[in-house]
Amino acid sequence: MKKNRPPSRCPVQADNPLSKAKDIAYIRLGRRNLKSSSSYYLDFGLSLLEKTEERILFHGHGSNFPCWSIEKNKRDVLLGLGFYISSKEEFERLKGLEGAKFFPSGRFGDFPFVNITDPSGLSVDAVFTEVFEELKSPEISLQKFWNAPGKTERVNFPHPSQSGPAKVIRLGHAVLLKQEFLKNAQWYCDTFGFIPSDIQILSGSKEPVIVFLRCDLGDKPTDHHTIVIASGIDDRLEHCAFELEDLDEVAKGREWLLGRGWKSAWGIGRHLLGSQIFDYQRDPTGMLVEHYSDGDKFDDTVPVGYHWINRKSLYQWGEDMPENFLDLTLSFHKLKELLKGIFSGKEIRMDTLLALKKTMKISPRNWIKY
Amino acid sequence: MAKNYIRFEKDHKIDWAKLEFGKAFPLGAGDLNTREFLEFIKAKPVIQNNPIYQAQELQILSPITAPCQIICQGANYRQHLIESGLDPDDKTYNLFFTKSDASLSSPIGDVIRPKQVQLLDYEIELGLVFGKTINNSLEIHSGNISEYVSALFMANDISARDIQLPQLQWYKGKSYRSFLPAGPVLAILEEGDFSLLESLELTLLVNDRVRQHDTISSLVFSPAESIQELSRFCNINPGDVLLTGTPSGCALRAPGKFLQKIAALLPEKKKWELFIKGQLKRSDYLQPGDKIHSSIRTADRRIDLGDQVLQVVQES
Repeated sequence: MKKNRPPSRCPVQADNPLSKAKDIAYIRLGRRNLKSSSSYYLDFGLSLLEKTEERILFHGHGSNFPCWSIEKNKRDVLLGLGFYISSKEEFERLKGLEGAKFFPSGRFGDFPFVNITDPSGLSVDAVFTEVFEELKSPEISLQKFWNAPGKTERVNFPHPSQSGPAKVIRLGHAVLLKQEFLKNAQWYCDTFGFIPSDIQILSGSKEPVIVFLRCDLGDKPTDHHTIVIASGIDDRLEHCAFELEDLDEVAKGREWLLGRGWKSAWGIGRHLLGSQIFDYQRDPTGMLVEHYSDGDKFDDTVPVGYHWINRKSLYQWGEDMPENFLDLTLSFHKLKELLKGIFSGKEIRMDTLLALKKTMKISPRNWIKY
Repeated sequence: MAKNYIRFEKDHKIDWAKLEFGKAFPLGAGDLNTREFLEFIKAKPVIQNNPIYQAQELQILSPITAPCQIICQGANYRQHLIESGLDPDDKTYNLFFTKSDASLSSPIGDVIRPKQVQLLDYEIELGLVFGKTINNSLEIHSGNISEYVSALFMANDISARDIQLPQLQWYKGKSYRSFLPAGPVLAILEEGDFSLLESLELTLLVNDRVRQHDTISSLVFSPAESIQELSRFCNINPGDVLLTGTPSGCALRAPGKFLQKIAALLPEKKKWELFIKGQLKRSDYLQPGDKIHSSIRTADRRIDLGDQVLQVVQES
């Protein structure tokens, strides 16, 4: 392990990416127990689309196309993810990639897709649809009336809160941990045209460790981040986030999940980078899932922000982050994955991982003593 | 919240524009210098129905114009002091020096490496623009600093270390043409903006690698302290600027304490020969073709001084 080596390059927007992803399409998760996952994600607020012995498909209220696939598997693990592509030319270019497999009849529907693997070996689908905009069929109610100083919307009319699962509109983003940070982050920029919105670096070495990537939709606004790549001990999915209508829905979702006996992870608060109002929960396997609303929307003109990485950089306000929110323990499984990565010749920066772990332990608020 | 303006050239005409969400709204103010612009904007001009541009369509100029006085602070971040071979706990004085206003240049363009220079260095800095004359000793504090400082901008205090140190020529070593790219944004401060200053993050990358990153909260001498001291020995006019120092991470590294002690015993000429030889081994100095990218903004982007994009070219 070399100390004091110069920091790596930061991931950058590609001049000529192979394609420009419109949005994240879906996440495919392997689960040993489909039953517990099924009841969990219904309480979480997803809608059931299809259920077999082998697979459960969920969708959000914003589209009838599945965004969440739970597939029978020997281990609880991320199987893959998909992005929407709407340019025929871009789709053809992706088809031409080495190792790319073309599936004309689609994975979950009629949309043809190309399957490729990212540098960590994760399966990534580019789902082709010329009618991407029409996929979205938002039955968003927003029939809520909010009183505010100088703006009285409700008179003689209390604010009723209905009990039930939050209404999930759509899958918003996925956070992926990678042993090889730069290689993977740059691959997503080069292959799918992602633009870095914010990059977090370690305070000592100035090594980049987290990048928030948004889609390049030109002058059309898009989420501050659609995927996040972070430096990790192993390659895995850290969490997925689902968009809700507003803060009221976020709180309602939390109330319902807690009432049903599920475990909260952290919330409610407002993020700093991306500004979302967030609430984190844990699914039956312990994986983090997030409800959010009111996230930032950027077009392609907003330049990158660079920031230190620490716990404080994760939120502007909110409940104190529980000590166990970030999984900083070195389990047997993670150690095994780490050794596997090292022996397979991956460029793993151990000094970076150790520094990251140390940084993330620093108390975010001066009044919190872990 | 600070309002952002740019100075630009389009179709051989110079003008100022308000910058909002990546779009430039020309003010039709004409070729005003920085001082005139500060007065112009104080009168709260109504934006006319001029064509709106994307910032990329314009040739962006330095929002700081010559003639003006450029006062700089040295070693004003703790870690940078250590790297420069100074003891931060001995730091009992505020180090001031000046740059020539001939060094002012566009924030999106070239940094020219003079023929005789090998040790070309970068220094990202927060710049303050004075908006009021200072000609006597003042008491400056958080309550009245906004009377004197009207705007913020980003500066790169480019330095030729092989002129600055061995020749004891700070003025020359820091003043060659193109040694002060400034802007792109002139952020006119509003009530309460001074409290946001501490969370401003400065970042400088060379060839996409982060070399410098820190927040204004790490300043050793605050703007208020520094301006108060300046007022003891210096007259200042609206449009003059103060560069507040650079964080750690420059190419320059002082030799260790032990080597410095030995060097002190050597003849002056030999000492600096060894210094240059030592620094030339460092790969961090700017080379022709290098790209410098820098930004100053808060994480929540309430204050955003834009992005500088520079390329190093060799003087022909």
